[in-house]
Formats: sequence, structure tokens, C-alpha cells
Amino acid sequence: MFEAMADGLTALLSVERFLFMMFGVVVGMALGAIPGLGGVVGLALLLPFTFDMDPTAAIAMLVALSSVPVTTDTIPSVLFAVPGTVGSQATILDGHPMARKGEAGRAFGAAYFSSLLGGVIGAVILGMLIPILKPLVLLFAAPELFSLGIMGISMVAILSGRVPLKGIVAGGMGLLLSMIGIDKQEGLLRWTFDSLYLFDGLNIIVVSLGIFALPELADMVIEGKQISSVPKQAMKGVGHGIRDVFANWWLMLRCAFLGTWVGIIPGLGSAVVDWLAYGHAKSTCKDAAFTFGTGDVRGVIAPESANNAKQGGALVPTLAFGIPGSASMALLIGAFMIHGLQPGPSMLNEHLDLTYSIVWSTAIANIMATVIALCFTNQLAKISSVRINILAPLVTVVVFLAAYQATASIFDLVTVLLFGLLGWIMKRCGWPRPPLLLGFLLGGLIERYLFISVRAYGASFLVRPLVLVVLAVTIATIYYSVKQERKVRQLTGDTGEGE
Amino acid sequence: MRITPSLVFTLFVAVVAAAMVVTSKDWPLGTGLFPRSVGVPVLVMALIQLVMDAYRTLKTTASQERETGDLQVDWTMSAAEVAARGLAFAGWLLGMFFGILLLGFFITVPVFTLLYLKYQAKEGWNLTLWLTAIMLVFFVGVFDQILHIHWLEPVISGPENFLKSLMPWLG
Repeated sequence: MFEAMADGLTALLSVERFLFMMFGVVVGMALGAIPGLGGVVGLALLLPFTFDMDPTAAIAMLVALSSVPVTTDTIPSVLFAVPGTVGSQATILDGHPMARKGEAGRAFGAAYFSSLLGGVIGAVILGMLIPILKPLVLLFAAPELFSLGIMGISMVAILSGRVPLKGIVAGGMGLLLSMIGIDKQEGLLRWTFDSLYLFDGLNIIVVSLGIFALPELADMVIEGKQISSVPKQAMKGVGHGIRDVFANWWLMLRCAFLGTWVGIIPGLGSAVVDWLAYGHAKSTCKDAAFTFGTGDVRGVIAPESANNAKQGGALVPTLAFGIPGSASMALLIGAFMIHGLQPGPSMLNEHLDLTYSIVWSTAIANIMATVIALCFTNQLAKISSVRINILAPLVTVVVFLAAYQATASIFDLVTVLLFGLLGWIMKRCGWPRPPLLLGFLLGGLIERYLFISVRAYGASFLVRPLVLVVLAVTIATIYYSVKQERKVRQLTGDTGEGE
Repeated sequence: MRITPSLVFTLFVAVVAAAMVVTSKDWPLGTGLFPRSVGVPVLVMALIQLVMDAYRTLKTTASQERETGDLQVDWTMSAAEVAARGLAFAGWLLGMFFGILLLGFFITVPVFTLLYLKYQAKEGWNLTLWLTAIMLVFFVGVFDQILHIHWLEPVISGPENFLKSLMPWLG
């Protein structure tokens, strides 16, 4: 095994292959920073150009490209509350308030460094798990995936602040919105109003842009100030953010493991991992109930370490079984096949050196992306002191383009505007938006795995050992978050009257 | 009971939930089970929230209602000022939308950027033209030339067709 690891690294470090990998890193970083795009777009663009390339160079380039967008997607999330990719939605909740407090540099430093460590941890875990992949992945069948979906939706209780009922209703509305379109079980149409656009359901990119980006942009324009009114000299820099990661190393490590675990399980997806990590941090960090949502750096470290670690985890089922956990992994499998490689047992036997070069590519790409991103952090942070009226038209155009490229329909723009209005009204009327988005993300997954579980196991799926463990953890999480909330109420003297 | 925007929005949520439950009642079990099993509790809880909102408008402070775990709002501005500026921005967004619908992306993107910077942001021509040019290069370079997005046919296609006749590599 160690020989294969060394061979994998040696193969990757030839000048030509390294340069191709760096090209993948740069393209991936650019795509992550542009809202609505991401690794999938990059993979689809570059895949055709790899036909005649050396397999190791081609795979290294594509793996690097798919690994790093979750590092730079922090930039629009922190500066403009526009999610760079679906994996950076939770970062907005504390990253953007940090930018408004003049701590954009600190937020970037913390995000990049936790992304780096998360990415490397994900790659290390991938490398270590290669010999024992099969039994691990087979532990998770439909009932276990359903229980994980329930665990995800229980985060609503944590993300609803001091308005739990509104949070639950918002989460439920998110679940209902996720059911719009063709029902996967019976093939019937649900709430499509005979509109072809709604047959495939609402697009997650368009919904998240509407719910978060437009309301934040509108509020900044209404206030008429720059993102941060703190003088440039007083802005906290990148070094502070890096020190924050070291100070919160245990949180970073936990969330990196959580991210890898979510990545290993096919079907949970990158859109969920940041919310799970954020919810975990909010329910376990000291005084999080007081500080999360107001610019607490731990609210940045948790999702950023998890979403980079997830990339390493997602390669586990892809390499071991040829099961793609996401669209980008499906494209990677396409790349393997183009180069005559069959994902599955052969990747763990005769192509073990190539498998380890993929592990090395993931780790090195994360390191290089962080080094490059850190070089530009202080310059990026200065954007937060530019007047919002100068930035508003540029961000508006990017939001419209990002929404339109989702399905290239004018209805994408109608949807982003409607959800923008909904998000703004929710924010102004004291309704939490994260539960709505979480319900929307998890609705399809919960329904699909519930249906398969009932069909395959009947009601007995609920008493499978791992299902019981996950449900017990879910109940414990809800109990702990309710207890935390009570503590906050007692300390602030709010009796929750009328709640 | 005082009618507040928050109360009206809660009523809206309850009505939407009710409509979703009612429309799902004739669906077969496989299609309708999940919508109904989510929709009915959501409707009940939305109604409870509605009653609480009506009751709470008299009893709790605004600050207690606003601690939602979401991003915070600046509540120091007057409601009238927020409404006026909000409507102005909504006007720009709708202008952009109808511009795209009528004239297409290639005309609307630079025109929107230029008009906003010049008349809303009140910037000088120098900065306005530079930023418009940068936006145009980014839009055409990334979304048209690299990603080859399929652009919709505008209702009034003359201006865009003229632009494309000058720059045949567009769209």
C-alpha cells in the first residue's frame, strides 16, 4: 500500500501533470467565486479536452477542479450574502455579519484555512479508508439514509433561534416546495399548474439565490452604506482568522469528520453538509445561542471545514463502487471511463497507484487553492468598504446570470424574483429563512428513501440498529438545543411569553 | 388585534399551506401521502402561529420577535423610508427583468449597469463606463463564450440582431 502511495505521489509530481493539476485548481477557484457555477460546470467544460491526455494528468486536473470551488465560494457568501455554490449557504449566516463588522479578512482567513485543513483531512480519511471501503458504504441502505434525512431536518430546531414554531412551519413549507414537479414514485404531477418549467421541480440554485442573495442586496441598498462601515485600518485581517481556526481546532476536526462522513454516503449531497455542520456547531459550541448569526467565526469554520472534507469523502463510493454521490462525481466517473478505467474493485487493486494519485491530488489541490486564495484575501476584504451603490448593479447582474444559467429559462428569473420577495418579507417579518432552505434541500431525499424503505422493509425499517442510533442522536440534538434555548431565555430575562 | 405585516404574512403562509393540502386530497396514496403528512401539520402549526401573532402583537416587544437565528435587519430606519427605497430597488430589478424579456441579455446587461451607476449611484462617467465595460467583458467572456449559455429570444429582437450583425461571434 505504501509503495502505491509513493508511486501515486511520484506520478503526480512530474512537471506536466503538476501544471495540469494547477490549471484545474485555478479554473475551480474561478468557478467557485462566481455564484451559480461550480465544479460541475468546470468538469463538463474540461472533460472533452481530456480525451487525448495522459490519464493521470487528466484525472488530477479534474479532481483538483472539483475539489476547490468550495474554497472560493466563500467570497460572494461573505461579501454579498450570495451563495457561491450550494455548499456555502450556511457560511452566509455568520460570514456576512463578520464582513459588515469589518472582519471580512478574518472571515476569509478562517474560511480558507479551515477549508484547507478540512480538505486535507478528507483526503487523509479517503486514503486510510481505501482498504475497508466496502463494508463501510454497505452499512447505509435506504432506511439509514432516511433517518439521516430526518436528522438533517431536525436542524430546523437549531436554526430557528427564538421562534421555533415559525422555524418548523418554514421548514415544512420548504418540504412542500420540494415536492413541486413530477412525483418520482407514481410519475404524477404535483403543483405544476401545467407549466413545463415546474415539471422538474424548483431549482436549488435559483431558490437559494432568491431566498438569500436578493434580500441581502436589497437591505444593503436600502441602508445605502458600504458592506462594512468600519474604517479600512480597523479591519481585522487574515492572520486573525487563521489563529481562530487553531483556537477552534476541535470544532474544525469534528466538522471535517462530519463532512467526510456525509460525503461517503451517496445521496446526501453537498447542499446539506454545510447546514449539518453549522447546526452541529450551534448546538455544541459554548454560548453559540447568543453569538451565532451575529458574526461568530465558529459559524464560518464549521461549514467551511465540512464542505471541503466532503469532497474527499465523496470520492469513496465513486472509486470503490462507481456510485456517484453527486453530479460532479458522475462526471468524474465519465472521465475514468474515457481513459479506460472502470471504477470499482479494479481501482483498489491494479490501479491502486492511480487511486492514491487522486488522494494526493485532492490534498495538494486544497493546499494550493488556500495558498493562492490567502494571497488575495486582504484585497478582497477591501471590497467590503466600497459603497454598495457601486456594487449593487454588478451583483444584481451576476445574480440574474447565475439564476438564468440554471435551466436557461425566463422562468428562472421569475422564480429568483419571487423567492427574493419571499425571502425579504420573511426576514422583515421575523421568519427564519434557513429552515425553509433546509426543508427544500431534504424534502426529495426524505420522501425517496421513505418510499424505498417502506417498500423494501415495511414498518420494520424503523427498528434497524443504525436507524435507531441515528434517531437517538437526532432526539438528543433536539433536546440539547431546546435546553440551550431555555438557558438563553433565562439569562436574557425573556420568558418566552406568547410563544 | 392590530393588523401588522407579520400577521398578514402568517395568514398568507396558512392560506398557501391550506391550498396545498386541499389540492393534494385527490392524489393517489403514493403521490399524496407525503404532501398530506407534511402539509396538515404545517397548516395546523401555521394557524397556531397566526393566533399567536394576533395575540402577541399586543404583548411582546418587536426585538423578541426578531431574534430568528437569521441575518439581522437594521431597524433604525423608518418604515416609510424602507418602503420607498425598497420599492425603488424593486423597480430596478423589474426593469432588468423586463429589459431581458424585451431586449435580451446582450442589450440589457450593459444598459442596466450603466443606468444604475449613472442615475442611482450618481457616479462619474469615468467609473461608470469602466465598470460597465468590465461587466460586459465578464458577461460575454464567461457566460457566452466559455459556457455557451443558450440565450432566450427577446420579444423585440431588432436591437440584439443588429448587435450580433456587428459582432457575429456573440450568442
